[in-house]
Amino acid sequence: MIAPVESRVARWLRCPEKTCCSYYTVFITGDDLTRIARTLSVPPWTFTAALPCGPDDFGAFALDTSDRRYRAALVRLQLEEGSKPFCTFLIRASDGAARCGLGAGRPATCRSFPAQLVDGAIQFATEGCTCDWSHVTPDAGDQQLLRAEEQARERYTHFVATWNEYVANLNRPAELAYPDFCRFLLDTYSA
Amino acid sequence: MSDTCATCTGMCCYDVIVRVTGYDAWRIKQAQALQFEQFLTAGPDEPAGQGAFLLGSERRALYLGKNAANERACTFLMHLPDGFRRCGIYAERPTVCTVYPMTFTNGSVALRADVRCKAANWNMATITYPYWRRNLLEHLFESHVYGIVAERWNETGGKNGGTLPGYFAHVERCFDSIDALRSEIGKESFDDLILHWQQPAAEGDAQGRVADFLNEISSICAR
Repeated sequence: MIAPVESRVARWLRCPEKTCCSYYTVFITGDDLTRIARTLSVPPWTFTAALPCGPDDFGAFALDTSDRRYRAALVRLQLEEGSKPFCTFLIRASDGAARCGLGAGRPATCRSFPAQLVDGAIQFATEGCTCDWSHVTPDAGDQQLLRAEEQARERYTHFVATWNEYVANLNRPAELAYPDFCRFLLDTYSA
Repeated sequence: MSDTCATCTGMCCYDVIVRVTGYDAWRIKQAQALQFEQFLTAGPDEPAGQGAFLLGSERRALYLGKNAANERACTFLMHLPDGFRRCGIYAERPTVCTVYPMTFTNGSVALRADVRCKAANWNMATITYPYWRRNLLEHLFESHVYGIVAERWNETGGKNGGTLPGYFAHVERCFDSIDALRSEIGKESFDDLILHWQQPAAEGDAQGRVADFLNEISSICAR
């Protein structure tokens, strides 16, 4: 019997478990952060958090003149002690089937999951995922999506460097908080 | 979203039962790759409205299910930090949600008397009237279309010991065809149809086109 052809997005959409939304910490770009905030009319610091990271990590930003760096990630919720934390945007149908409440507006890294560009070729990285991806193959649309994601990351890297330079040149003891960085992104991405 | 929505705490999605049309249900099913059973309930037709369907001798209506995390909330409501609540199916939410909190009062767009959010948040001098009017007319139109779909069921399957899975199959079959018909008509022409469907026949041939569309639907759903 020939297995039915299914697109990557269709396979992901019908998955009732969405372990990708609890297994991974979703690090986002300024493009994602500002788009989601504007779409939902919600301040970005309510649904994202600054997580400590290394200085060379993608999107590492400073909040003071020290070497400490942070990355913006989607907030995860833990409903009960011992239960797995899951993405704040995850919704559940009456029977518990999980769906993304952001739909087409979800972060770029979620839109392309589990496709990744490795040396120009698409690969599926399915660690932590319970879905069967054996009958799903990447298509031209995935390639385009990943290229756009790369461009968004490059743009974000540039803006974060501008912010970090601003913070490094502060002449007073820094009193910056994560919402200051978010406000910088909202302002910068609206230009 | 409008600025008014920035302060929204989702009270319209709490402690209310959201009655949906067949096309609402069909769109959500398609967009979210869910089965009807996963997000709908078939409750009593109270208060009586359009789209009531028979299961044996009982008149039922379709309602959105309740939230797994909070049974006072709609199943699709996202609970965000700091008390923010937002719709998790915003792009394909039911038309009754798109028109909230407006209604027609004496033929004009007006705030509902039973509005659950702060009425003062809605500045009736500055709201975009054509947007609300169009959405309200669409909601009325969809309700009317769904009424035809349900009536065709009631004339056949419902009377003869019809089951809920049987009704869901009827709804899916009808709206597969209705959606195809809408695509055939085209978005611009369909919008025009919605805007004129309640105007008197003297307003041109819009009434005739509406009648043709509704007759076609009636015919599709009787097959």
